[in-house]
Amino acid sequence: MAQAAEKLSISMPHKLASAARKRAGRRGLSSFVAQAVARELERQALGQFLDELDQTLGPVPEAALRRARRAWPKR
Amino acid sequence: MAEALILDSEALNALANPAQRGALALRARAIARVAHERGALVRVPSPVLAEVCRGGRLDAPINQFLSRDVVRVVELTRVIAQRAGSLLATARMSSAHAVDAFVVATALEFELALIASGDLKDIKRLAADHPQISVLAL
Repeated sequence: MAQAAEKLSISMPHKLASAARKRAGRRGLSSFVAQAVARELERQALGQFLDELDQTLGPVPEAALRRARRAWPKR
Repeated sequence: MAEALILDSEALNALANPAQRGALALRARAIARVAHERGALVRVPSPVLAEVCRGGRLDAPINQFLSRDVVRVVELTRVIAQRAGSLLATARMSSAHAVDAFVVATALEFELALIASGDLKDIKRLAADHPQISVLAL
């Protein structure tokens, strides 16, 4: 079931707003901005979760990070 | 479409129980940290939950982890299910590997994806024709 939408009034730099409108296209600016906000909230939650684990269990070894960086497919 | 880290059952268990899973959890944390660095989404295909959840209190760590909104569960749609069937046919694998096929079919929803898996061989075989997918063993 779709959630009720809340109307917000936000400000952003003109160039950024133009680029967002252009990229959003038919999908609409509201949907585009909502998706961007959702992704950023998710990204921050992941960062916070990983920081908490680093603090309680110790940091991840650099070798494991290097292995994970190498594993991503190339663009 | 964005980049995504796709978690299979081993990777999900390791992140949900990081203090109990030793080296496995360290590797899973490293993979998740790099996903964060890249701004990638972290996703769990819903059929993976059938492998890790057994009901009641046993599911508490998984439920707690999922409730933090650190990762999202991708629902199994008709498109993903049919794509999984096609992957199984191409790889000449039986439906005993359906969950692995759902994992790869979900990864194909994204522009680039890394699958963190405890089952390298079968996942690699299913993803063999798709260079936009990499597979990393935990």
